[in-house]
Amino acid sequence: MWRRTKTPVGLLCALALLLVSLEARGDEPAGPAPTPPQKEVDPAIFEGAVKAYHARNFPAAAAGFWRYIRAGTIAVDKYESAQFLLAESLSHLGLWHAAANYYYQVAKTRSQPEIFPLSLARLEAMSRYMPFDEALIYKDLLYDSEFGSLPPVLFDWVNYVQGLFDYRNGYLDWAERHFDAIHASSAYAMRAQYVRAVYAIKNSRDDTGLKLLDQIVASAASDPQTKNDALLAQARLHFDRGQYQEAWDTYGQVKQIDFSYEQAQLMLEKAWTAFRLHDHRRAMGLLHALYAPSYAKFLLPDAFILRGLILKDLCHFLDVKGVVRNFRVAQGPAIVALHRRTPTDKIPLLVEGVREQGPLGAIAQVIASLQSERKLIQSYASVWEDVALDKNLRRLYDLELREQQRLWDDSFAKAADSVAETLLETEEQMSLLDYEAGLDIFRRVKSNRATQTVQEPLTVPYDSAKAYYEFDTEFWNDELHSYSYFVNNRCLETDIEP
Amino acid sequence: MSTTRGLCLAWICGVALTSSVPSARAQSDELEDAPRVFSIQPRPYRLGHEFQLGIGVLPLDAYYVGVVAFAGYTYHFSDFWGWEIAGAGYSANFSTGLKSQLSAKYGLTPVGDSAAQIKVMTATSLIIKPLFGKLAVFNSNTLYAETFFSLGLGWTNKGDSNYPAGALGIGLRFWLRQTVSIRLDVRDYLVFVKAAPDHVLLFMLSAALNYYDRPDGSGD
Amino acid sequence: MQTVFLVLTTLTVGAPVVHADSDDATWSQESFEKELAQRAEKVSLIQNRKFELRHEVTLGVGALPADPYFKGLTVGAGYTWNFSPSFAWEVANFTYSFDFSSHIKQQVLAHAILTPGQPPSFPQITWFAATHIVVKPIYGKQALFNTRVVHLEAYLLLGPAVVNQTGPNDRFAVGLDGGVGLRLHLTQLTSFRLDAGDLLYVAPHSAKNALRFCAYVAFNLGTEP
Repeated sequence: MWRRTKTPVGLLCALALLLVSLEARGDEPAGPAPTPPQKEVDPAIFEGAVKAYHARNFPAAAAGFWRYIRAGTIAVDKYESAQFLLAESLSHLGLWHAAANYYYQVAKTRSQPEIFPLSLARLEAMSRYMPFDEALIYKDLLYDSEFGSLPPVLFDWVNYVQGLFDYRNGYLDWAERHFDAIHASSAYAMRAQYVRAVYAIKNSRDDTGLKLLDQIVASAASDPQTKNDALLAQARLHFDRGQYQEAWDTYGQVKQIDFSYEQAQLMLEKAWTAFRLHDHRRAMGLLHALYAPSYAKFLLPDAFILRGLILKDLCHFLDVKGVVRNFRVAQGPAIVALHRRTPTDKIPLLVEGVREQGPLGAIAQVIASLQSERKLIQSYASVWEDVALDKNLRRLYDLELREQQRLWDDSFAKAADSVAETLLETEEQMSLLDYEAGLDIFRRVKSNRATQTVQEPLTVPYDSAKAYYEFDTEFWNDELHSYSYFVNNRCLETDIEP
Repeated sequence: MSTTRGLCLAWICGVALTSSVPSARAQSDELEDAPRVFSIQPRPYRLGHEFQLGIGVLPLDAYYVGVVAFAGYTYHFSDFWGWEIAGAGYSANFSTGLKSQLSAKYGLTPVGDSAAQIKVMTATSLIIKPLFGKLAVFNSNTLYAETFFSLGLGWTNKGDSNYPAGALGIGLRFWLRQTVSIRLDVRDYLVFVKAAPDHVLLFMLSAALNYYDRPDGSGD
Repeated sequence: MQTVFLVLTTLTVGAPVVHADSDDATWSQESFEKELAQRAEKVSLIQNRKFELRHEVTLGVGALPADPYFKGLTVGAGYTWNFSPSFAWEVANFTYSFDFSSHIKQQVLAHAILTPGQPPSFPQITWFAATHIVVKPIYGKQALFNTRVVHLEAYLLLGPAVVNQTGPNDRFAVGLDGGVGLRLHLTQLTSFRLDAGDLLYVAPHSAKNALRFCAYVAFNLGTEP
């Protein structure tokens, strides 16, 4: 069954893209050096490598398989098996990106049907667990390809990726055809549903989006990440519509699965929701959790604003000024640099801010992963230098790093400008807050016309179904969403208009 | 005109600086008004009807070591108070060999109270549980635990006679799940054979089966 | 070729799971995914742990309550190097025992006066010294009346010991000392330890054990402020 391009022009474009992507990878995508055709390779090399593999001597096995690949060509017997087993050996050694490259080659060539689904399965698992080169796996391998019969999990994955890219490219009919082919009980069916929901919301069909998100949350097939994403999207929609209680209830269902920037952002959004519900204790408690070391490193200028607003509502004006001061200490150097028109890539705080989030965050993770794996190659250099495998792998990683850096450079300016704008806006708001707090400090109230609500002293019940742990510098991960901040409201009520 | 204006400005500044502003006075209470942050979490495990089965040891007597099989039932009124309605232990005693050594080497035999062995101890005890918390095992898994104290009255069978006894204890409980927990108890039975009581120290490890039947939210 | 076929059929998607720790290097999809999952950066349960011990000096009192012939009231001191939150080395622990004759010993001696011959001697522990490996698997907190938080730690000790006894024979004995302990952190500099253990020692003519209990005040030196 042939599909894909709607017009010859499209076909030419796809071919052109394929050529360009191959060229961007350098001479060859880290495959074997060109060898004379039809050269017979000693099968003992392969057998020896398999033996080493079974003996769990993965460095020696990798060297053996590489030697076999380098000596032969794709026409040689067991060539793809050697590629696959090289990938397996590299995976065992923690060189996942290099392994992905060889799995990709096996999956691309597809000349040995017994290995092809295995390679694809490895790539599918990698796509779920680690940052990887989307262009290589998704665009180059999956999108624009026909695979024939596949095991159910891989079939669903391939259709999901193809549908996702069709959505991104605006081919909705093709996308729906792919998504409809996914098995209903598969986790990818719910991911496809999520894509549909996001598309609906982007096109201002909030109700449709909400319905789709409800289905994802209710489905047993959803994996935890997709469910979390769906709940988050629902909560945000509720917040945007002013349905703060519903937003709060939905945020409460989102699970803390890691300590990423997205989780910190979730905490901040919950804090804003609590603020809208006039629950200052919970809002400040959530902001307090952002001081935890795993979150403190993230750039969240909004947190300062919210903290200042809440303290101002409670008439702790000196504390508001303290928040403004802290903001200026933390973000001041970056703001001064922006005012001086320093290039954004020379402002460390901005670069860090860009690295944390969005598509550039994903690229940063891939780069970090590539750099750390590249260092591992040295550990096996003594075994590999005879066959130049270490040299080949370093070249592979260098090429990949260059490509990721290029993607980074392409998108950095726009992303950095967005972060810079946020910082400058926050600075303005902090200045306004500072000014208003200053005014409020000296606002005159006649003592005989002012009243203050007598507040109950804080009493913690000694016998309770709840456990109360007073914060004392230690952050326990399971407590991060359960802090409550107790402070007296110092405001005076008066019947005189200010 | 300028003098009048200057005087007005001075008057305004003076008023601004010297007028008593309640909010400014409130600022001075800052030190007494420090914020407190609590993590408030529902207790993951709650006790109701507790059935305890344990094994313990009476290690300190010179003449014998007692291996105790213990059973008890405790009703927990709340997360702070409980009543061990009945707790009883039977001691299987093993000679340390001292008796035969004294007899063989020195021709001495212990008599009276010295020779008497604890066989049964029972008590009914008030349980107080003032400490509840969590423990990190190698900083990766959470174990919930509570510390409790017991104060009780009962009787012991020592030798062939029964004597009144008091029981003071401290224990640690580790939850495995809602229905099962592991307890470590140390109890001092004050056995009133005479006016000055004898101390009998019991170290015990037990499994506790819990049945909780109160509605969710009770005790909040 | 047969070997390749064997490798590949075992690796086939949907094949029975091969345990990752088997000698066979073939990798099931499940093991592959487990290995991938372990790449994720581990975040510890507790961040910004409040009490971290470094160089610990202990002073304490205790008891050797189990010997039938004497009861020892002990004083002890030690130094522990806490090189990680979960492991430490109690480099040296020295305990001196002030011994008091038990009721049984007094009666035996009273009886012995009436009989001819050498009065019996009862070797008593004078002092013992040990070095321990300390494993501290548990650290946590409990809310006291829901208003205060107390921090606790539980640990295990094991190591060789040297025992000095009274008496003409068996002066020195070597053995093993092991036990468990509970620590209550009071401040950054001080904590309270309760140890319970058993000292097993072997001299040329005897093998014995001594149950010991000790309460220490521990001073934590060398922590960063």
